[in-house]
Amino acid sequence: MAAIAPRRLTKELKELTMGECPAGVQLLQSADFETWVLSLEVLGESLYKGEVFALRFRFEPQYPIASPEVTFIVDDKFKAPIHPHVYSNGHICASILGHEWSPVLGVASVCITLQSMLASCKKRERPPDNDRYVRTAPASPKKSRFHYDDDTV
Amino acid sequence: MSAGFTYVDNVNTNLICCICRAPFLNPVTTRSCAHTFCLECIQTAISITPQCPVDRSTLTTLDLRPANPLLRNLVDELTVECPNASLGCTQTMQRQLVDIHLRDDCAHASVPCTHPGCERQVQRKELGKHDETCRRQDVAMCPYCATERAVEGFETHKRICGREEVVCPSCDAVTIRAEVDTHTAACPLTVVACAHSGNGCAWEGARHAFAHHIAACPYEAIKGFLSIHAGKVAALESENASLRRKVDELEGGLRAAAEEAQAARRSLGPWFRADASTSTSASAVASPAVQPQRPAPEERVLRDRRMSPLNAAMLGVASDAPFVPRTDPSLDASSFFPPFSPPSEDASSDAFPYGRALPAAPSVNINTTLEGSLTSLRNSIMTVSTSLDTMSRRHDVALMTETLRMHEEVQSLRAIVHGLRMQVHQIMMERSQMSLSNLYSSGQTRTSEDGGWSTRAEYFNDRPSTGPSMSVPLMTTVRRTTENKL
Repeated sequence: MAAIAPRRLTKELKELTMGECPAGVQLLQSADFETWVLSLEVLGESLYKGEVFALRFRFEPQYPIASPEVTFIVDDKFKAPIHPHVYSNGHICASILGHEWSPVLGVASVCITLQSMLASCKKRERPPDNDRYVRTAPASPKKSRFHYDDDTV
Repeated sequence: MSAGFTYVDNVNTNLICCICRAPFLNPVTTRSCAHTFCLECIQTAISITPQCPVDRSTLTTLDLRPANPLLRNLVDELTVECPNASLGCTQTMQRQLVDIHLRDDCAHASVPCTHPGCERQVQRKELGKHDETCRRQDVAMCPYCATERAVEGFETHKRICGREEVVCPSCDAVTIRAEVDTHTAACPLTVVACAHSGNGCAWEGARHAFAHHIAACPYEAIKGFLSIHAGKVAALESENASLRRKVDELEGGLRAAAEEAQAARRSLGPWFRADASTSTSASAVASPAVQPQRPAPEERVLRDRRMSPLNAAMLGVASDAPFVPRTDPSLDASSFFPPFSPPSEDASSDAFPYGRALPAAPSVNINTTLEGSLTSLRNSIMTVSTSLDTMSRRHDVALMTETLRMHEEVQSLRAIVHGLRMQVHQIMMERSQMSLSNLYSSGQTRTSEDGGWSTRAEYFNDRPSTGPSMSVPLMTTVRRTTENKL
């Protein structure tokens, strides 16, 4: 089954490059089938208007059965959005990246979900336990056990 | 299904599996929620999370059933490229016919060579070309051994086949190769040499003539003697060889022993003598042989003996050793140290009693055996340590005496200095008296004179200057140094 990841990613890559990319999302890097980088912009009226974020996708050979590892890139060029579900190290607390992942989801659907998550935000603030989490966070957010408690945004 | 097909046309999105994003392969539909997936995709997904990937309702493999035949036909009839397109096959066909195409038609599918024994896999279109070159296709009958052989390697077999008929070069009889040797051993026409050729018989002839020759052969008559002789020669040769080996070994041993002796001689140095077991007189006889080689240490030893009373003392001890010859008369004459002079008032005249030259190297008597020399050296060391001890005690006493003397001298100097100070004081008092009397005689100059004196007084205490003031600072310095000493 390991052979499914490259074929499925080839398909997704083809869809993203053939102009079926969701609005506000741009493919920045897709040299291999391990790490992709996409830019994310929230369109329309929102707290994050005009800001551009970058998402890093890391795929395991078990993708799409296993969820991809998705984080906001935090470096000189990009910052993580200030959002109650986004930690300052770029880790995202979203159930669809954890136990609610489904193989029918893909790169495009994750991007749209995150766009919607940002767009519906009412208040720019970090998660309440940001400092504690960032201090102890593992390298991959897939290793953290998030407690999904808020389904409003 | 891991074989990825390349679809020629755009496929309707309703025929796409949402897990692998490719047209359904062996589609199954869930009984509960009626979603359709490839069989393999949904089985893998369920094994990780037992729920429908689309609506997250609980799902097990028991809820899966084959999709509607209509759907199955739709995806099975999609046009795909031949899987061997990368090898050059340009055909397209319905997906369900791919297997048949690969099995029967595809010119680029690899098929095994039809000849038995040929293991090669060739593309179908290459099969005809391979047939021409495949050496396995023909078999040839070996005319000799009547077995079938592949053409490949046939020539080699023919050359060695044991059933081939060969002709005896001597008697023209025909035999097969496998029996040539037995025939040659018996063939009456084969040329043989005389049995005594080793002893010098030059006869050669056909085997059937040999019996005739042997009756007349001169060597045959002395056959017994020859065999005894040959046995003796062989025994002598083997004995000679073993002796030669033994000589080689002995030579090697001798060389090693000589090298060892040489090394021992080198390490023994001056103690080596040609005949170490002889007594003193013998060594005196033998010594001229050694002396010319190493005259230097001997000379130096003798010189040292004469120079140093300490060495003389040491040699006095060494002379107790059995083999020391008393060759040097000065050795007996010079005894131990002279008795130490007791600390006295005139110790200064004897200020450096230990200033005599002490030789650094202990003297060695090379006329004794090595063991004797070692004993004498050990005794010498003991003597040296004793004399060092004595020396240090003596040094202490001398130092004490010297210190006492210095102390007394300082005391007397202090007394002298004290007298001088009293004199200076007296002079100053007189001067002051004089200036006072002058003051009474002329009152105007009083102030200036007074100031002048006060500056002078400060000056005395500060540092030495010209005139009588010199003695005052000098005295203080001397006192300070003496106090420090005591």
